[in-house]
Amino acid sequence: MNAANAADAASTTNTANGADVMVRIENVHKSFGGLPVLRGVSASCARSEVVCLIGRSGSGKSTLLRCVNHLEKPDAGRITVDGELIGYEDRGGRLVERRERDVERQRRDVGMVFQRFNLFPHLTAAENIALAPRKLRGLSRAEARELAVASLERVGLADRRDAYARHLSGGQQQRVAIARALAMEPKVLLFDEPTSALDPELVGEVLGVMRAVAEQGMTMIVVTHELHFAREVAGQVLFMEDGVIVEAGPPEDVLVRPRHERTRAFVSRTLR
Amino acid sequence: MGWSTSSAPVVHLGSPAEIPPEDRLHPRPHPLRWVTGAVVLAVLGFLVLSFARGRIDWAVVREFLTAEKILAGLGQTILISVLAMLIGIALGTCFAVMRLSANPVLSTVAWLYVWLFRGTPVLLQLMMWFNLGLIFPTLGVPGLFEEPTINVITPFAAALLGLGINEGAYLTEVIRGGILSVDSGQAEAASALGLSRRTALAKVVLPQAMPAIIPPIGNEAIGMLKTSSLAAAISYTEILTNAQQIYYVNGKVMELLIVAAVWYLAATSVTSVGQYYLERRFQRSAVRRRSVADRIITAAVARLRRGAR
Ligand SMILES: Nc1ncnc2c1ncn2[C@@H]1O[C@H](COP(=O)(O)OP(=O)(O)OP(=O)(O)O)[C@@H](O)[C@H]1O
Ligand SMILES: [Mg+2]
Repeated sequence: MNAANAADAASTTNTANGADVMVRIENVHKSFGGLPVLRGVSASCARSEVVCLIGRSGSGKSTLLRCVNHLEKPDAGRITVDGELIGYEDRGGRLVERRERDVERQRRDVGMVFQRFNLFPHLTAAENIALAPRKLRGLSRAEARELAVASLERVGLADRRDAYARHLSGGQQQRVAIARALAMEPKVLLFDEPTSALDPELVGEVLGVMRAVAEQGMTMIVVTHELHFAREVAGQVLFMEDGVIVEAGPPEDVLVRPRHERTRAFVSRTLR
Repeated sequence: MGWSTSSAPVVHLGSPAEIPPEDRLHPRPHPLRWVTGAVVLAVLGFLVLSFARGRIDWAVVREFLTAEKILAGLGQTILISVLAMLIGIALGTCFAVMRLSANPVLSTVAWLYVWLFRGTPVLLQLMMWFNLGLIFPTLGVPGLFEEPTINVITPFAAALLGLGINEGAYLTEVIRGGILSVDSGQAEAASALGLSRRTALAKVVLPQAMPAIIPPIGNEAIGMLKTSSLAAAISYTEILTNAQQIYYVNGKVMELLIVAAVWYLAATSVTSVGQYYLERRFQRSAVRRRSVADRIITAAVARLRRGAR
């Protein structure tokens, strides 16, 4: 009885939908200068699950994503990655922001891919990828380069290892950015509209790489307007509006048979 | 009209076409350019001629150009300029980072530094450093060691402090501007990878700020070579002081001033060449417009290189 209770308690902290939880977001609030942007967001993402976050512009998707690696500081609530509280620590019942060094260590486990790629333009593709492993994981120059080339292979760009960002197409740049995040072997990868800045004919190659990374078991939270991708790859789709999650569930529910009027309106407008 | 406008448009297919003479296109003639050029050259020629015929003893100029005292002064000028620039770059980087810090105390202190040292004449600052002994008769850590200020603040030390700290205030603004010119997404991407702010600054932001920082630093270095002559006021012996001392004796005022001018021009020219190469190094991608001076320098260096081989 006791053991069963203990197991029950453990299951509520460590699993969601019966699976291992990688990212848990609990009642997160955030305002910018009095304007509430996140108004109590709770969600979770299982290990190796792909969660797609959809919603209109300004609904708070980027802000939520940026809270997960503490690029944005929430005002209230908790975010854990693999059971570890992100950005804050419990000091006798009060949650206090962590030292910068600890936040930096936590960020190594949370990769991020940006809408505008944000490759370092003064470095080659391989150098972009090698920088963080060299500085943070103590790899030698040669080891880091080897790792960089291996990461580039994963996104099909090993032959462009010595190219600077400006000599790569947008799609290639975003694939290098994905390789850069992968090289740190993160526990979860965050994508903030990774294909929104791309010419239409380049979207496919980036989504293809993302799909392959997902199939290799990476946990991913993806903000996207590519509902076809969400439909095929996501385990869970969250629809956000005005700082709250309006609807959540498997894609065949949220995207095909939305229960809420607002979700239905968004999906039909986006798919049109 | 040499060609018909009435005929229907013709699509020429297949083989490359001939160019009949009436189809050739010509650049617009600029006859006025020749006139203005000639006028300017005439004025220049007149100026050169008047100096050549003026009462300047060119033999004296030639004689003192390599005089020991002049060369020693030149050495002192270059020494103080280089050291003061290095201090200025170090201080400028440090205070620029402080100015951008989230800590309000640090950014206010940095702001005060710039306000104070940019807002007062450098000559005044030099004199204050030199006379520091009037406020602090001795310097040091009480109990550990103490020195009379007069012994510590030599003309050289005062010049170094005065010029270096003043330069730091200007370079703080230059470097801060350079850092701000880098897209904030760069620092963000570095943070997201887990890099510390210090590493992000050193490896990601500053290298990209260089194209915006190098040209003004080059200008400042050229300015420093000339500003260092103000240190003469606190009896630091540099090239201008030494030139003055010589003409007090032999009365050849203009000749010695010309000697100093020649050396200043030589030093600033060498600095410009250095700046040119630094700029090129940090501006690999940008399309550059080349001035005549630019082309002369490159050609000259290429010739020197060939000669050296
Ligand atoms: N740093 C900031 N300072 C002030 N307001 C901000 C800041 N970042 C975001 N906001 C505001 O917060 C709201 C939500 O922004 P957010 O970027 O999270 O939306 P989003 O869902 O990602 O939209 P989009 O699809 O346009 O990227 C917007 O109204 C935005 O203007
Ligand atoms: Mg966004």
